[in-house]
Amino acid sequence: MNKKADAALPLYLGPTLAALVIVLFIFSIIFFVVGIKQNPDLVIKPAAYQDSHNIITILKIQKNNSTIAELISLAAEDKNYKNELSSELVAILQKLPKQKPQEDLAKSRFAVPSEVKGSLQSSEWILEIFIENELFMKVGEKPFGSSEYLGQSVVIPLENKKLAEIKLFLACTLCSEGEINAIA
Amino acid sequence: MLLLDKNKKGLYLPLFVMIVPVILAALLGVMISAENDKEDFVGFRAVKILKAVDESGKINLYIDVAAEHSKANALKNMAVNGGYNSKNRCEKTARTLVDNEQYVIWNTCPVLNLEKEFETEFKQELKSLLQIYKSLYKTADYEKILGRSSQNRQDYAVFYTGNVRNASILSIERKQSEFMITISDIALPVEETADSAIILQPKTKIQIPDFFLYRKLHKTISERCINREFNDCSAEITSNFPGSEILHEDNIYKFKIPAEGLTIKFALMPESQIPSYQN
Repeated sequence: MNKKADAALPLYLGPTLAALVIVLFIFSIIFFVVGIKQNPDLVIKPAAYQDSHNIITILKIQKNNSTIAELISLAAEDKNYKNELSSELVAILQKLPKQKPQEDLAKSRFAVPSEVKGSLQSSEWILEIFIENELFMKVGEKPFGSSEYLGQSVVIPLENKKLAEIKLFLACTLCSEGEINAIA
Repeated sequence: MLLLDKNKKGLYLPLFVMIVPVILAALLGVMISAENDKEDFVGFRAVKILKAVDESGKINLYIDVAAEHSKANALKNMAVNGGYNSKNRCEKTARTLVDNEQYVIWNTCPVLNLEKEFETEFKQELKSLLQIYKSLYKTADYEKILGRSSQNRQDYAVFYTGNVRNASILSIERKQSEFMITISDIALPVEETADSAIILQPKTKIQIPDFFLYRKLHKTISERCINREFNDCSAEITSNFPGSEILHEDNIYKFKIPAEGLTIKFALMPESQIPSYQN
């Protein structure tokens, strides 16, 4: 009985194996395509997550026996403190890392598009203080055509029991995602 | 057919070839559905935990700032109430046409324990600032990060706001020249995780205020104003506390004593004793 079966095996072995190869081939293509279509960016980008360490550190900086957070509260009560607060914040924001123009067109012989883009890059840290949703102070000027990156915000109480919302962000013109990730 | 019927072994290979596509198709289906349900990038869960940690940093900052403001407000309120907390049980003078303000009458008050009064007032102030906390927490932008919207997103800012507002002040301990303030645990659930939460145990500290001026004032009043003429009392007070204002109305002396940006305000019935001072 076995010998008869063995004798019949070559009759369907070829077509069966061919069918198996075709099936495996088709599925390997499907799996390959599905694999490619999976998340193109598997690792999360630094810019997708913005922590608030910069703004928290700024508010804790000690100036003349009071922190910047306390200075905000004083400025909200007494306008005389507003100028002091503004000048302190300007000095602090200048120390934060930011994107600088990468190219100087005056030094290059040919204006290659990448060099033109690099020369036009500019960025500024902007800090805004809102008291009860009204803009109380804005430090820094947004460069023309800039977009906002690395936004951070924090709420602190004032002595008069109102809330101050402080927002910090980098306004950057012609900045690429990679450059922002490097700063983040 | 006859050969196959008689030899079951011969069926195995074609059967295998037929089963393989079924298995692979099922596998493909599982892969695709898992991919569609997947809401995780490498690092995304870590980011969710970091976001909760970041929120805890903001809450700590808020509490530190609130503690400093509470101290300042507590001292202001105590000064207005002659050194007692704003919910004291002392009697107050009536408003008059000459003076529309009310003064706590020292003689009707309990023992003056300034640190205890400060603690009571400080707790009230800090609690009132905790109760206005507002979280700015933003739930992860799944549309931006994963390229797809996600159902049933919860607003974690509401949780965090509620948990901070419900926090209570557990203790205020004296440690050398500082008060250590312990606040009840604040749970910060990690976004989109079943049972994960960061438990924040907030502590903050403030410098213990110096009540030297109150001590000096209490001593001067008890020695120089009780059962003494108004002019004697007034002269003594103004020489010891420059800039003071003293009024004599009916049988009551009213004092306004300037003190480091504040004004200590109280009244006195000169014929009766004042409560003792407790350190």
